[in-house]
Amino acid sequence: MNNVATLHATTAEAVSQTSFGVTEMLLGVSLLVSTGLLLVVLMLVLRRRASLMPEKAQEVILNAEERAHAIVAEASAEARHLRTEMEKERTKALNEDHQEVERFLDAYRYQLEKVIKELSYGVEKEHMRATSRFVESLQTIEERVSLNADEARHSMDSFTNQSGTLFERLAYEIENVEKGIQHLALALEEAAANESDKNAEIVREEMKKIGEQTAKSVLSVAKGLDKALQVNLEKEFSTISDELTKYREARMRLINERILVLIEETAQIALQKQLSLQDQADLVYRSLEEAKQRGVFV
Amino acid sequence: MLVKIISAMLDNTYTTDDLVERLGLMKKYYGKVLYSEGSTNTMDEIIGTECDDHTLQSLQVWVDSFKTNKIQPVAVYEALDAIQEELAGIPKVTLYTPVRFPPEHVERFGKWFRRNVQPNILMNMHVDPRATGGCGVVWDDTYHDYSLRYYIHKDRTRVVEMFNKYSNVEQ
Repeated sequence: MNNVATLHATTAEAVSQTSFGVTEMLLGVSLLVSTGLLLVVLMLVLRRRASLMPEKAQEVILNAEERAHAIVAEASAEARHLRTEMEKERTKALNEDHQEVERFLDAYRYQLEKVIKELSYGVEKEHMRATSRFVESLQTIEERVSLNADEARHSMDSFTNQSGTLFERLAYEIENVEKGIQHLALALEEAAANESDKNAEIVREEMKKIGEQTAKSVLSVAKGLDKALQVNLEKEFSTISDELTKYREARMRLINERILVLIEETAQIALQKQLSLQDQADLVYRSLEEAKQRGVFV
Repeated sequence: MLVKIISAMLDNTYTTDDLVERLGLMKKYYGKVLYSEGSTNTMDEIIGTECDDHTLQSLQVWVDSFKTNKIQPVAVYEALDAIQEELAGIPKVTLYTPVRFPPEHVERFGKWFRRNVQPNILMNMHVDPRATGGCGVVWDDTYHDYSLRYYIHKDRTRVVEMFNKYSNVEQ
């Protein structure tokens, strides 16, 4: 843009300088011719002075002056004509240059807009493609997470009701991972939107990088999540199995060791409320007889 | 003399607590009768407000027995402190029962011990719900549990089999 303006100014200045030089030269030539003619007339007058009569000489001088004035006037008119023509040529050239500059600018703007549109379209297309891939990847991960969660839930439920607490903890962890991925997607989209306003080329390159990084990251997260789920499930199953074994052992131990206490306490409650005083007394006598038979009082 | 008095007292007294209580009441009664001038008050009037009818009747039996055995009230009164000291030498058994029994049942338990263990034994009775289904006995400083726990452990195998049968538990 600056180059065009500079070119335009230089051309106009050159034209203007050229116009003044020719005009002055023409005026100078005209003056020289007039001066020469005047000198020639004066010499002729001076040579004939001796033979001419004063009236005749006066007439000749007047004629010569008139002719000289006419020549000067004609030269001046010619010079003005030339100057006018030069001005016209200069104006015409300036107009042509201006139009040329306008056309150049129009073409430049057109090309610029075209490039910008192409870039914008490309950026938007790239952005949409990257976003679409990212969303598809997220959906795939969510489906896999959901599927794994369902399978885990089904397995856990069928395995034992005692694993409910452990599965809730696992589901909570999966939910945290899903939230983290969603936050990552939102942050990525916002970053891409902001960048697109700054510089299309840079944004396109950045989006490409982000797309590649996102694909790697998502793949890594998916693998990690899958592995974590598998490990977690195996760990939970193992833990549940151990807990079930311990629970069974504890229950058997309880039955073997505490069953009598349970029955005893239950019977105590029932007997104390349901036995009459005479029944209680009879049981005391029965126990005293038992003690006597066992030799307690010997 | 002292032996006769103690024998008369133990005839209808089977627990240490009853004996200590009755000795105190007797001391108050004889103190009033012997040392209050012109006193014509009956036993009921003197100590009737401090004990139940059963205790009052038992004390009246004591007085009648002393009269029958021609033991003077003064002799009894002067022997009361000595009897209090002699309590340590009387054989005792501690009986834990699941409920508090009335005097007639306590008397029957006492008679059982005197018939089956020692003729002049005294009981220390305590209520302990853990003795449900029987009783607990302390003899020669050893506790013997003959409550429901004893009978359940005695038939442990049969009880566990029955429990497992109804609870469907594999042993």
